[in-house]
Amino acid sequence: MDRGNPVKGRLRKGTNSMKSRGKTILLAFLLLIFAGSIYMDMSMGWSSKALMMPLIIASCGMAVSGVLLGYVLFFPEIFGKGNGKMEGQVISGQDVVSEDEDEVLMLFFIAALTGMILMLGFWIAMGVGFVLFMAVIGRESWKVTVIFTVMSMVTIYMIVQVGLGVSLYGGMFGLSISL
Amino acid sequence: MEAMLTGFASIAQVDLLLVMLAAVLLGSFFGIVPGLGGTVGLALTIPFLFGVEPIYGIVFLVSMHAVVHTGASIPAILFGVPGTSPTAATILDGHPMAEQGRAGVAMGAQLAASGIGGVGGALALAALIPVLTPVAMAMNAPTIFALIVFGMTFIVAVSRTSIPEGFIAALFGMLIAMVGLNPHTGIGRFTFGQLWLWDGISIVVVVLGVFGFAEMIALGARGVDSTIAEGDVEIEMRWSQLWEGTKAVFQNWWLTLRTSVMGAVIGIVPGLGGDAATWICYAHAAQTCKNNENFGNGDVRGVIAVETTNNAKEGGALLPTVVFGIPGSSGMAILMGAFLIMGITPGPEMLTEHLDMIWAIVGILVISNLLCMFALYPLSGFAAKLTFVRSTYVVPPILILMAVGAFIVRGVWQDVVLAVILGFVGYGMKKWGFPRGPLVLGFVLAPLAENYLIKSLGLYGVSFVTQPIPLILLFLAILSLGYGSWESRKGKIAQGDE
Repeated sequence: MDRGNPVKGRLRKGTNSMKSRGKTILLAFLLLIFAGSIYMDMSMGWSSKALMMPLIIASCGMAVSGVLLGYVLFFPEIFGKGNGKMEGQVISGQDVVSEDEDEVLMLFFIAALTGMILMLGFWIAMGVGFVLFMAVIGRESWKVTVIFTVMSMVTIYMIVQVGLGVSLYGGMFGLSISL
Repeated sequence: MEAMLTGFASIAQVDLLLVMLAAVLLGSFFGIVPGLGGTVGLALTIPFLFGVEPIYGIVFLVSMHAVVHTGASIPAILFGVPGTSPTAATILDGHPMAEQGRAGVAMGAQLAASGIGGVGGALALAALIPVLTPVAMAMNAPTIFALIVFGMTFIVAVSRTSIPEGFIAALFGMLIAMVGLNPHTGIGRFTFGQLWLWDGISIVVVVLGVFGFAEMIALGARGVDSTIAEGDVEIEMRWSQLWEGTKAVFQNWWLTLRTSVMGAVIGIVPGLGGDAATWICYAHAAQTCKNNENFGNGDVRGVIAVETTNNAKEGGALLPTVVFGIPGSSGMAILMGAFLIMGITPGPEMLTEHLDMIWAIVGILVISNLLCMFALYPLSGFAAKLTFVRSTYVVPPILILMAVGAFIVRGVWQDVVLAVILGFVGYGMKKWGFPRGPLVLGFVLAPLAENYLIKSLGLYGVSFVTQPIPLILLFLAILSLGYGSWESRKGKIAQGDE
């Protein structure tokens, strides 16, 4: 397997429209949060001491994100200059934009892993997560996957359970495992 | 002079040096594992120190606590996962360097800067004890509030060419910092009736989410065959990279010295906190260094500024703890408790009756920082090679460790979910050009600002802003904001020209 430079060839230029759309979604999300918190500030009947700071922050946040959202929606050409690059990702002048499929897969994997932790607890989620990512998504051999999974789980067990004496969450169904 | 010699002599023993070495390795370990950090490390080791001679206990605890951030920067540089919250600022330049195949340079700079910063901070502390003690203690609420507002203006410097986005990120950080019981009124804000939100959101969860999870999503999204180091980089990490990074610290000696002293001074101010110190010093470096256009994209000076501050502030933070019995952070509070257990009562009498002990602590800080630097050099060379390992081997264990880290902070599963949600937000921010540094800066500074604002209003009313020192600091804040915006505009124009 050639692992010399696996990333080479996967870089591709992102379009400003894609970035603008993503930025619009994120701005709308943040605007919603700021607006929602103003509504909460006003409706909860907090004392002035408790109300002051959140209200200032949310009002400023709503104003700045509202103005910026307006700019992104109505003057998208402004954001073509200097604002489009991914933070900390400039390599030889090329912008790195994720492959859509891998990105969706990764987001689903993390959501699934979190769900498994909540339902089945850390230890089962850990085992299933390792196998899912390495053998199924990463197409590693089963032998390597099993060895790596067992070694990692034993290491984490030694650090967390033996070293720190912390019992990890056993899941909503209480399926805690002590190795 | 006599106290200094007595203090240094008390720690110049072979067995104490071995204790220091063990503590340094354990401290680095607590730093490397996300979510643990110095406070957890202290809490876990104190029970084992009951009954030991005080000098051994102090040497162990101070050494361990002094170097936690040195270890914590290793995952920050390699994986973009901060081991402790103050090292989140290391990611801004350290991780891009790793992605460019220069992890060794970043690690070399990190280790040397941490070592020298720790030593510099301890020496600055020793030199400044007589000068800064009365100044720090005379700081009233309006002055500290104005200082925090001044610190907030560094959002501009951290945002670089995306100032509106930086402000939104900072305001979002400030807003989530408001979650929990208000300390002045006891009113639960944004808690939605959830008990686990009463204590607010832990900074560990925030940095793990916004930086750690986001970086892992970004790595996985590049494909299962990808590595952290991208593009046309050499697979073989040469040891010369470590040396190159180390050299950079000495080449930028003025920056190293400045941030060491700044770190120690900020550390002295009780309540300002170490998290703020690293961001303030990073922003200072980004604003004042020449040819600063590469800050945030892998400038070694960004790593140097954060790392010197990180270790230097520990020396500073010890001063109010030991000399006045005022712990500036939860870690220092635990350390103070440990001192009491060992029969040493922190307080002003330390300056008169136990001055040798203070000098011994200065000596411990110097030696442990140097020991840590040399102990981690060999490890760093190998660790840097992890940036060339396929993501299938990196993503699952790091994700699990982060989830474990988020869980063990308070032992509630909701923190894991929160870290993941913040990870999605952080990934969106990374992808769509929102700087993430201001979010953490806002999160750290907002509760402090609120606390001192309410105190100032309660003590002096609105007229507190007319006091001379706060007025000067607020004026400086406006100047800093204007200068930062002008610099940013200049940078944008230059970018447009390219």
